[in-house]
Amino acid sequence: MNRREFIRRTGGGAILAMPLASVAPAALAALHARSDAEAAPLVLVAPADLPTATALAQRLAAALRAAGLPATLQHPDGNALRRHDGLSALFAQPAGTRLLGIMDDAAAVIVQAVAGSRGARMLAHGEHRGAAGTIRHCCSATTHDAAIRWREAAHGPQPHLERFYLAALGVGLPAGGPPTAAAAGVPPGSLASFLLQL
Amino acid sequence: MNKPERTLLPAGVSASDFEKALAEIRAIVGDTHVLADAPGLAPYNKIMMPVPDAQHAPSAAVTPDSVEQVQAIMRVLNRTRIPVYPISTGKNLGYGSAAPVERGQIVLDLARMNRILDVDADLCTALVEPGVTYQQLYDHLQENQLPLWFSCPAPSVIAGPLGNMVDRGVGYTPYGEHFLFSSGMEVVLADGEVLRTGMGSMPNSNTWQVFKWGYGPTLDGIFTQSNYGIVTKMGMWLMPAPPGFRPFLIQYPDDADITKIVEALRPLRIAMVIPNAVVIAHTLWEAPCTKVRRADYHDGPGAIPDEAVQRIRKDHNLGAWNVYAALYGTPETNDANWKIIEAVAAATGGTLHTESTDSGGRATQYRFDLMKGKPNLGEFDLYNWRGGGGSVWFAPVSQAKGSETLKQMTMAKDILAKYGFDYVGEFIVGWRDMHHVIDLLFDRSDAEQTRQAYACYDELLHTFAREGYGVYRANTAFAEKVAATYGPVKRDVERRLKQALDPNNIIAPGRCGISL
Repeated sequence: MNRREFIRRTGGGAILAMPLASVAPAALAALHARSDAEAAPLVLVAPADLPTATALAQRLAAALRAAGLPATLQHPDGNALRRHDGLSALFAQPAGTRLLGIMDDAAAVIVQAVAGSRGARMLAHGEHRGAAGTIRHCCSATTHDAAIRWREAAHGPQPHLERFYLAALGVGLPAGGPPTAAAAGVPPGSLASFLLQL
Repeated sequence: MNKPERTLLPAGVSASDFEKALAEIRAIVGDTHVLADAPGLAPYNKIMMPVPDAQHAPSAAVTPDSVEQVQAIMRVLNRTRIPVYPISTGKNLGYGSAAPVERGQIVLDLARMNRILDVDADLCTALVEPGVTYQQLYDHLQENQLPLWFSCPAPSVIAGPLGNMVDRGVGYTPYGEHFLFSSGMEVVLADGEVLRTGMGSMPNSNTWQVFKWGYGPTLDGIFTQSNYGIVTKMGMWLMPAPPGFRPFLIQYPDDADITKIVEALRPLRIAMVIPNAVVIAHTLWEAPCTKVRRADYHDGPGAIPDEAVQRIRKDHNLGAWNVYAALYGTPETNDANWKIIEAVAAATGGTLHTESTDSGGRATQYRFDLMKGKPNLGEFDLYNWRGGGGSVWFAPVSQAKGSETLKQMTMAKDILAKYGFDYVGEFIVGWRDMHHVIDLLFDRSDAEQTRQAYACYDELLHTFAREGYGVYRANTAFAEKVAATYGPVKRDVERRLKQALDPNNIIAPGRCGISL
């Protein structure tokens, strides 16, 4: 998907103004064929000792399930993501596996750096900052130049993040939206997320 | 297979010439080792600097696995005049990572060249390729039960000795000045010729890794922090594991204590009573590595107030300054020198901690591990301090004198605060110099904060330069500006060398400000 095609499918320059609901999945997807998307394993990783990350991972897992993309959830100890053996275990997945990570910034830097060394393809990444009752999201898909930004209330998040990562995986949100309306938001501080393919 | 539309090309290169060159390179390394699609290239464009990704986006990446392949690739690129950006492991995070210095350059990723070619346990030397990581070398020494240590930098699990040495990085054992403890390089020049420096030029010599100088001008230095060649092998000295290793931490309560700390430690460092680089870390370097959350102390705009920093110290038992060093030797020599350390700590008002008395903080443990060359990733927790994936190192050099340190710290803190950033800094005491290393942490997902970070670095750089303080290493976004602070004559000589060794200007033009 090149930039010209992306702009065409999203109705000109509307992407910067959101709503994200207007984004066609194919516009963000780096994996173009749904059959490919369904075939490759999908693993969701969130550190067990970071409740906000695990809550967000549960939220995304529910949306993925509803969209027909069941994901395996992994909750390694946060310290494991800072150790050589822990990282090796994380990457002991079949080639082609998609890894959707939600973790603290430090772990995200490490995991993405190691993934890059192992020849992983980077499909999308995001930053999620919580402050004063709101969450600010900034997400980027590799196939699109501009970052997608939005804010939402921490107590009632919209399914934009689900929509973003489903789109990056090449599928849309099922009719009726995600099965869980609102999960825990992000407290003061930040999380990072990313989608890569081994 | 659909051919991706080429949206990014090196400056001055047509799409058809570029495709032809890539086809030739594919024939050299194989299709799977040439990346030109967006998801494949994205890891090479993952930067932490306060500039847009697009400014450092590569046009392609190539991953050769031998020096012969590197030579063949360079012949193609030299003929077609396509610029290339060599990386070893590409983990120079905060200095530019794996991204090319200029948009459109092809990344030459040497990570597949990851062979440990030789370890001589008698002479304590090693010969490694660019893709070897410190963790890999550590595992090799452990598996072969070789009682040898090396010095490594903080991101050592994922970074490698060759790239760190070529960038003149430093570590924390007595062999911490990495270029000083290198011995011999193999370099592929722009035209594909291979040079071996020092004794490596002599046929049948077995002294490449033991005698650095050879005969005539010593060339190794010009291949560090430069773009005159592609280093494909490096010799390094390893350190015999000492019978006794005694790491320690001395904590000091006040910012102003830095003056007496440096005055007390410099003589010990020059006399090699303390043989490794002494690290003097400020509170806010220690805090994130001790799992302190910034948001628990300051969640508003601007730099964290001094009052909050004081509370962090109190709550988490951190010093204003936290001094890390170690004794290496026999138990007897360490016992003798330990009395000196105790006396210095007492005389300067510091609180001394050892492995047995430390309460087990994470920061202390990763520091102690680094001082014995054990790779770890403990320092990455710095990236949680502000969050958002923005980090750029500002690293001016100073004399190892107390008056200099307080002056530099005050200058840096004032400028950082003006732009809303925290002073997250440390001093690393060399033999007579100090590297003042500041991590300018910012939220890269916040456009305004990113602009402020750029302006802040710019002001730091030029304010320090006016005072005569130059940086020892810089991120690629500021390479040109940093090079300019060193004056025109040096730059002219660098350009003349570039003209002589790489007249088509194809190896990383712009790296360290060198280009034709």
